[in-house]
Amino acid sequence: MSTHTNQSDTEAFVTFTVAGQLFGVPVIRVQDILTPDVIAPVPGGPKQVRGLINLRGRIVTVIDMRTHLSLPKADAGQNGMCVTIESRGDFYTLFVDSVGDVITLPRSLREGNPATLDAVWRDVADAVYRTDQGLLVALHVDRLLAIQSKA
Amino acid sequence: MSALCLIVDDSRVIRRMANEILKGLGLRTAEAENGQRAVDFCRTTVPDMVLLDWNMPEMDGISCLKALRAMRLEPRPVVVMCTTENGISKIREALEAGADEYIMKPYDQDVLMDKLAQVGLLERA
Amino acid sequence: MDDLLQEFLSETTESLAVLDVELVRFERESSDATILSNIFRLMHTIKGTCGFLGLPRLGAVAHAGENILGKFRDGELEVTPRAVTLILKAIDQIRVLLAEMESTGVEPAGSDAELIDEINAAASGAAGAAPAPAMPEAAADGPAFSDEGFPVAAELLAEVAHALKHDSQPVPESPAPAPEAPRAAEPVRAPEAAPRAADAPREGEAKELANSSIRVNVDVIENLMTLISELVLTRNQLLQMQRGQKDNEFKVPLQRLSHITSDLQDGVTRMRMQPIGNAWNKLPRIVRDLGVSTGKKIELTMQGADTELDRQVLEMIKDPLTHMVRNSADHGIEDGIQRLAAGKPETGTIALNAYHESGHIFIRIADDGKGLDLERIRQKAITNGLATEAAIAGMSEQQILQFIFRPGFSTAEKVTSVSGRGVGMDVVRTNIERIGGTIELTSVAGKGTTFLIKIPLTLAIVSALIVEAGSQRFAIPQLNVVELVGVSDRSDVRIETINTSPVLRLRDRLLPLVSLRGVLGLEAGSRATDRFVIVAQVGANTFGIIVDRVFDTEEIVVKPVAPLLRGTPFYVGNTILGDGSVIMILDPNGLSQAAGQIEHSDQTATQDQNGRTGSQSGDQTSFLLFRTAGHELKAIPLELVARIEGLDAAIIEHVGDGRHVVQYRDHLMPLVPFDAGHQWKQRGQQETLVFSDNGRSMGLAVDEVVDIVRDRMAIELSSARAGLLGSAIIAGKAVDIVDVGHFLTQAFADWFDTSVAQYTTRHALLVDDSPFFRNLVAPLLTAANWKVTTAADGAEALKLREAGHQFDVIISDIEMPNLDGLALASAIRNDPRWNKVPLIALSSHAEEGDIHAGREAGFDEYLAKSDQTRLTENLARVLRLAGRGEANDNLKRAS
Repeated sequence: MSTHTNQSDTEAFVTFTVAGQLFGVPVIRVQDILTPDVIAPVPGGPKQVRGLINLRGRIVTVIDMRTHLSLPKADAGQNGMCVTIESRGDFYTLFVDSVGDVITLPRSLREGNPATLDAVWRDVADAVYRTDQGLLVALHVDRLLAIQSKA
Repeated sequence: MSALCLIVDDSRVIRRMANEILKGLGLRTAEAENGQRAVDFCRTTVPDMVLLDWNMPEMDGISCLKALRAMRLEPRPVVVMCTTENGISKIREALEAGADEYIMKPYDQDVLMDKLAQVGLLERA
Repeated sequence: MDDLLQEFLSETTESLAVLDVELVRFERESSDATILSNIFRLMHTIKGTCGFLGLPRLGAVAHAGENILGKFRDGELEVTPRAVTLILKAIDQIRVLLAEMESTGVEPAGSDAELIDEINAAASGAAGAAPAPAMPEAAADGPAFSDEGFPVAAELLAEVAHALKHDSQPVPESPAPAPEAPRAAEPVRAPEAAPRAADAPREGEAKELANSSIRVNVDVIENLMTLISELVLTRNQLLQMQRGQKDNEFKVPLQRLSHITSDLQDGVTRMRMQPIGNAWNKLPRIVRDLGVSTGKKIELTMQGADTELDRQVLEMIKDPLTHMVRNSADHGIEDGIQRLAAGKPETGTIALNAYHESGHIFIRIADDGKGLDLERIRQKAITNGLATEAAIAGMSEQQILQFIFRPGFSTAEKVTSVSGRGVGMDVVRTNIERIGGTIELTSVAGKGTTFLIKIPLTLAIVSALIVEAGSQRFAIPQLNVVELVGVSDRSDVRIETINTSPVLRLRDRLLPLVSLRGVLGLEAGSRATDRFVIVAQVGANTFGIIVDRVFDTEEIVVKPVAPLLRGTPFYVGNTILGDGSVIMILDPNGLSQAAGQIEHSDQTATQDQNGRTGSQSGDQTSFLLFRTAGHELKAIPLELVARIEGLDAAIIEHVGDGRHVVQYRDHLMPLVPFDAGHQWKQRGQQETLVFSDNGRSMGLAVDEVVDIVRDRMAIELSSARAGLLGSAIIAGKAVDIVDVGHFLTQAFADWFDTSVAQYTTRHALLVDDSPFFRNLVAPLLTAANWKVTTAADGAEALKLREAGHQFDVIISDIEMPNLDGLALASAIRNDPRWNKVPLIALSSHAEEGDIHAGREAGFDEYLAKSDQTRLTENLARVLRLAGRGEANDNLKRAS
């Protein structure tokens, strides 16, 4: 795994799908990926916070990506996966529909945010990539989590 | 047994570097953060060599040097002063106070090797 | 990243922090050669290490800094703010470069030529300018110059100069920053005297260098802390299991294990302690820069910088402290001209003071500036729609000041770029409360503003009650739990509603209730008839929380909530239980606010649907509002009322000389009407407020029970009408406050008689030489269900002690003949008979010095007579606590 991704000409992403859209976060930001066991809800908390989980003794906030990115709600009974990331010392885990492979994309395929990109996404997207699986929205982790506090 | 060198410098980064270099050359090392701790150390253990920085809090290099010499340690340790300045008067001052050698910062492995050979410590590996 | 580089980054960052502080000190004491040589050495070391590690860009900046410092040292350059600013710029640039190196691992390419040129220009520009105060003698052969154009002998000369100044040998032992060398002719109290206390952290630091210490990565400590916490919990479980068993071979080893665990816990807790100076060390620089940019002269003094507190707590108060200091410097301290015109010294002072006391850390931030502008706050509050003009008019100064803690409230005329708009005092207070602390504010127009922060020493393990509501479990800190009550439709103890507000009849009291399900919006689920009420106490307020189930008490490790969740008012943290599940820890304070969110027509609560009821937290009382014949609203503190009954008029009996009684629960209960001309109903319901004590009950007949509201108890005393204590504004309406004592004695002349009273009656001793004042305060006490004995001075009070009387609380004036309050307090505390009784001082003098003297003498609480509204409020609060028979430290906690 390349550590100095900003030096090389490729970027590695952990990919996941939310409501049919493919997203990616830089692999170096991902702590782990897991199937959530029990998520403890936080009544009265912000809508995007699905709850909290116990991750090896650490309390991690679960963020429901559908809610956060204003995507339609999931069908009842649909399970999800969690992608755990760290930002400014706190741990968060993104609740998504499914997690894909770790893929390495050449920077040459990187494009700026198209004008058609949803306003909410524009804030959190770092770039988009045209891949053979479709359009991949590369998320900017810190900005993704920064939005939360305004909500 | 290989020679023991006491590294005296208030910067832990520099102490560490010196440590690595000296260990790489086969010497044993010990560290002290300032002149006072160096003096304390020498009360119980006499090093073969002291790599002594000039600028330190609590007790600076020159004072430490004078103190060490006044202690009349046996066998007499080799003292190498180091600093970034190289004016004639400084060197004179150091030598008059009892230093055996004078070395400029930043130094590297080669420089130290030279000095160690000059004072005859490298043979004792 | 390279380990060595990491080490370099960390060491250099520390040096820069010290440089900041020292440079600011030096700017003020530019004659102090010790500080200068220290600064020089630090910069020199940075330059040196850069050379070793091959960091030319960094080295160049450090070299420029060293250059100009060298000029100071040789007396070739005058120490001007401009020059110091340039050095600070160099330090900042080094920081920037370090930050980049931290993320990329290499020195950033580029050059700082512009900055370096500027610095060098300044360094050479003032050649031959005013000499430095300690003019060093040139060495006989003149200073030699090194390759870098730097006078080599300068250092030696500086040492000589230092020696000459302090009259010691030419080569001093050490120019350490220890204050042992006499500071020539600088009396400690001179206005320009450096913060002497700032020496403390320096000295401590120097000592630390000398002491053995090792560096440990923060994560390692955190992990250790978590492990120890787990160990503690497991130890507790084992002890619990052991308790049930008879003596066996496990008992002794387990005890030993227990001791060791406790010691370990203490040890690790101490490891996490850091001196508060670490949070302060950036402040001198900030204040200095603010002074320069605003043209004001400001001095920052810091005392108690070595007061230690938990690292996590330190992290959380760092920003609030900085914000408050900036505020003081920016908005509090006036400019020189204004200050002089006001008769103040030209230099403004911001004083930081930290100390430990009874398990808490106190931090005081006081400035001698112009104080908070009350009028402006009033206007702002009205403009922002936070309160109506009428409500404002009725508020005390303290209440007005509290507005600054409301979100978005900033009274600065122009929002300067200095303090910024982003952080407000609301965030400050929230941050402090999140760690279980409190913040108080006093301000005197023209004199200055003082903040007092009180925070717990550590975030540690607490005992908590685990409850369930809406199929979810929560934890409530045991500290706040007074009692657990099971309620059902069948039992005596029932949940009732009075005008839609749920209350609980509990023995002799009525408690306002809040439903956990309701407040958190959880699913209603089945209306189970068996539920539980947690009787909780927050400060002086008692209320009940309705939950579905109650589990055990567990010891939990409190973990602060994630930043995302900090806006929710009901949680004070979260934790992981023994079974691995994550649960939220409830904030009883937040819940108690919800208990009061019932009505409040013209109060701000209606605007504040999602959050708290009002900015005032705590110190609210529940009042029962009712009407009597005159159709005016009357009020009584709810907790005095045992029950509200609608008695069947038919069963009320008239027994000679105008008295009425009713058969009530197996005994005859006297009924007293509010007004003498009360028309007794012949049929229908007679609304009655029942008061109970010691098995005796009395009913007060009223016309209509209107509501239960929550508000501050701020009574305007007036003894005009019998049966009334005075009046108050409650929920925006003017109501009369009923003097219950009056009616109680009407029903039973001997209600307050000593011979009938048993140990459960609370007895207060009021000591004051003024009969007027005794007569004013005594009814307040009786209204709150106290029996009152009075004494005219300290000597009389002590005579009562000799006679064997015991009291539950003693309230005393200070200025009295024969034996004054301070002496009385002293005498009480030094004698076993009364020394555990809560002592309250009530005095016309309430300056800080008086308060301090009072506390020193042994008073637990100090109230001012002058502010009548607060008097009743505070007295009520304090009495409520004393009445519960709680020890003195509870009083302190609430104060």
